Amino acid sequence: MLEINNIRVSYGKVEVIKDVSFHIEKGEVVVIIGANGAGKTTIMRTITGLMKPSIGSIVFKGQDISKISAERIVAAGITMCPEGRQVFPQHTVSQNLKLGAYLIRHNRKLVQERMEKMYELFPILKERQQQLAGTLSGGEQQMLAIARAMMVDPELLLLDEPSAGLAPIYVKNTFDMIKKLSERGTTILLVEQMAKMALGVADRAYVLETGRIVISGSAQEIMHDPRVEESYLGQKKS
Amino acid sequence: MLELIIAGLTMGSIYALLALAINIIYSTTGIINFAHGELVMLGGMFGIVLVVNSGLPIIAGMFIACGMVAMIAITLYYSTIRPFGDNLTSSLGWLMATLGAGIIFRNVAMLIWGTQPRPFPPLGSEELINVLGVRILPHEIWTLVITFLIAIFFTVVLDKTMLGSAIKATASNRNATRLMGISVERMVLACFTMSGAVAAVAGFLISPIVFAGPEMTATIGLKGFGAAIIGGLGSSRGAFAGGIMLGVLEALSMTMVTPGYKDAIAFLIMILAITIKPEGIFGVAYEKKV
Repeated sequence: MLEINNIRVSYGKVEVIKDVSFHIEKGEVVVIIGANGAGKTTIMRTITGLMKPSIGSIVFKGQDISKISAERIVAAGITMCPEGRQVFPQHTVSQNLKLGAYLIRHNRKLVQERMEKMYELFPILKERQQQLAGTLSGGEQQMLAIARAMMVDPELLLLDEPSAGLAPIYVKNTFDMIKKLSERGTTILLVEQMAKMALGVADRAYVLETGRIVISGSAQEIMHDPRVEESYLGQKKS
Repeated sequence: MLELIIAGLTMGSIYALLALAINIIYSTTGIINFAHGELVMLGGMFGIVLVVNSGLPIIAGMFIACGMVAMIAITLYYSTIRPFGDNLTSSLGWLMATLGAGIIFRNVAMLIWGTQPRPFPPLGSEELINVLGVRILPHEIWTLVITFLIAIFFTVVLDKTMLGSAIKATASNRNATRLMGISVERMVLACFTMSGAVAAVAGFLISPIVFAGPEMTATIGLKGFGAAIIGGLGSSRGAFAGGIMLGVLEALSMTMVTPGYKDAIAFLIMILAITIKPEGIFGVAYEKKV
């Protein structure tokens, strides 16, 4: 479904992503794990078109999307729940969801239906629908950010560090939700530092280190890879 | 006394119109268009060409001028603001560029139309009418009414429509807005169009009061900017209230000092207001949640 071929991405003169290739098949949950500064967020920003690769291609459903604008990539079927959630703090919860449905705004019935669906998935959002998003707790904002990204029913959902800065109870909650969304048929690319939790919900995984993919394989394989155990799962080799 | 208040309300309406237009651009791009006063002036000069020289009815002339100034505003965006990229708060290039564009507009206007201020026909009749014992020009009433309607229009667009919601989203977080599939560029262009059209209306309303000429908005432009700050940048209600307040206080102060101090008083009011309430009357101070 999504194929990333030898992309390189730089911030000014500093190359952050060095020759990265990977792919995602329909229906999969793929996770990219890596430490801070490995370039995980940059990969996400590049797929969504907020940044452009200096070289390489990103092929989504047979179309090279590496040169088209962020808003057209959303229309093509990829949405992202960005790092740090980035809900619109001075919009209400329901306004946030409506903004997520901007591309289908002329079909009011569909927007209403999707909102009902999201309120079903995230009951807390229904309770808070008239509240300003800036007044929600971190966990609630995370729910809102995911729901907002799901409003156009994307074919591929990108989640950038959904667990960052959340209370442990919400972390578990978030991963349960990811599992639920995947069971409903959404293809998901997840970027995480919480390697263990992420591998628990994923089908396949890639390990990113300073802009390069160093290990790849099924979630099971990665979980038991001694290098990963040592550096990312915090288990000592016996 | 009442005459003074009416005059103050009229000038205040003009400041409010400027503040509203400055605000809508501030709310999407986070920058101040320092050439806005000159856009108002161009509106007035186009009025001279269309209404005085070509004999078009005022309303028709106003609509055409709105379109023309809106196009100039869009050109202004592409030539002085767009080149400085997305992260405008980190550079000040746009500041010099919009200031410079304003000077260019003024000088080009002088080359085309000369420096001599010219009379401009008011809206409605030129006869004074008697309202509750006060003699006022119909034009003054029109100015107030039109400004009020535009302020309401802006408030409704921003608070009640999807376009407004997207504009506010653009103001709050550009990248997140793009991730919703919203073209940030188009939102900014929509705002420049509205701002340009309102500038032309302001030009038509102010020209009968101060005469139309290239220098007519030299201080008025700054006061419009001040009115926007007094009301709280980003708030349409604030822009309206700030403009009216500035106009009325300025007019009332004339009862105490000679008119020569008029501008000084206006700027003193602005400085005081900004010192006492820096976030503006309707400004909302909120903390970003991390």
